[in-house]
Amino acid sequence: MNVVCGAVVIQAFQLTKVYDAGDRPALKDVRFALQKGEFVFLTGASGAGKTTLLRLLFGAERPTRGQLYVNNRDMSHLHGWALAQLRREIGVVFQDFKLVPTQTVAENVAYALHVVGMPDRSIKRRVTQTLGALGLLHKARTLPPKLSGGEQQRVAIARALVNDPVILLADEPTGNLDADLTPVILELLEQANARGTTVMVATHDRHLLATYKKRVLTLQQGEMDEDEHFQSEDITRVF
Amino acid sequence: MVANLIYFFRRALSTMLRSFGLTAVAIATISISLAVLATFVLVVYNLQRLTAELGDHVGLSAYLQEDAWSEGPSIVERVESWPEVKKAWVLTSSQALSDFRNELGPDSVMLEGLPDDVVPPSVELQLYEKRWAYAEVKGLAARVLRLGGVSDVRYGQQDIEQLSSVLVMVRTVTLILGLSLGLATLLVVYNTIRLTLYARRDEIEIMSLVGATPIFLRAPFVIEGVLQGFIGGILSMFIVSLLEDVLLQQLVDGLAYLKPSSVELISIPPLFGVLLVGLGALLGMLGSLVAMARFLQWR
Repeated sequence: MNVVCGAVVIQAFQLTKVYDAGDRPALKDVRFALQKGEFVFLTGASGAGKTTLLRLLFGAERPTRGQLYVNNRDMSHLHGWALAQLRREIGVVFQDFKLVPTQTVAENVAYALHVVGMPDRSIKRRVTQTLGALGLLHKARTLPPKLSGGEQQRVAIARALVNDPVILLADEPTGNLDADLTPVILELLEQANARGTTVMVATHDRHLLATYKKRVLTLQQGEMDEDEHFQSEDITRVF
Repeated sequence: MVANLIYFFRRALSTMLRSFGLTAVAIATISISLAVLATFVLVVYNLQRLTAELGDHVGLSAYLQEDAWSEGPSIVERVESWPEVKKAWVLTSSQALSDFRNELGPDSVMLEGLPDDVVPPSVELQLYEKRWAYAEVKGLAARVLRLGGVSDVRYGQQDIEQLSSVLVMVRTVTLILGLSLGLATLLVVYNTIRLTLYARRDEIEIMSLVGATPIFLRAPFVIEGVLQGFIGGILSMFIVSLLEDVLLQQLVDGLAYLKPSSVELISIPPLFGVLLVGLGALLGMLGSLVAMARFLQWR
């Protein structure tokens, strides 16, 4: 699949994150840029800094040093209302799904629409459309604990995609699933990418990288080790 | 905006219903605290009114010496010329006994067999209505006592002074109780909201991740606190209205010997009821804001 890339949506310069002074930085001098419409894998061993980088991207952490721009916002100074506005443009999928167990599938997906003050009728329509697209409409009234792992991950993806985000961040989205569900989840992410969403998938699954020929950012002990572009994607090395 | 408000209320109500036990205990505690506070305020309010009313209607009784019973009319004539005195009259022994019988009602049988002159005759002085200071009435009593033929002067001001000191005490107790119960209400709401926040921490985290603004995260919990306080305030009014008849009757009985017939003890005025409900809602709001201040700090 050829990806049509446009404006830069994520830019990191000398990005460094230190959790405790004196400790080894979780990220050190990381540089990269992502253009609109790209599909990127972020890989590295456990503790390499993948989750830290994703958390910086959706504003759960602040950079210690360096600069990080997400959709033209400087993440070093973003908080409160402005951070909330940015998060409405980012969909996040977690390895542990992060679904509210006491709310139905439809209610879980609707959270992203309630926060923007959308009227109930519109929310119902959007949630129905999204669940339908992900083959979950018949589970709309089911509580998450009654779903299989694959279904729960699809609900998490539905919640991340329901408001058409500019960026989709997925942290080990297939890490807790059976291997035969991996193509299903990846196909959903590729579909979102095809609609123009920039997708970044953190994974340590080498098989996934080999199967899906995408740009790969590799972190090693907090440093950007490699930024690999596949010729099939028609993208050249950025740095 | 309207969609948001509806959503906030729906979320607040759904949380209250979901953790019904916790919410019920919180509302019950708030209503009892406010009811106790309101009862004290009610007693203070009535005592204050009564003291003021009694101060406006001061009367003196000048008891005549045994050998000077006939001098009553001349004493009346003299005191009526004083600017403070509105009216004076002689109360004969039999009239005094008859009044006493009427006051005692069914218990007047105790007085049977007593001679008519068991109570000495007196000259009754009614003063002009104004807020009389204790020293003024005391000075006037001394002047009456200096008149020939008067053996003793009694006046209600002594009772008023006693009542005033009781009032100061009750008012202080009410203030301390008010602050303590206010703090207790605050802590109850704080704890309830904190537990709710803890129970819903996953939901709050998700909402924060999908772009909920700080106001959006906080509003449902503030509404929940306000609703708890509001409902607690309304219930406390019901409790007080159920108790007030009994309480006021106790107060009337206790002060029967003082209460002039013109003074009616009154129940909670409507404005006080509104203030009570408002206080409940305010404490509820403060409790939830304090609970959230720490819990949502990192969001």
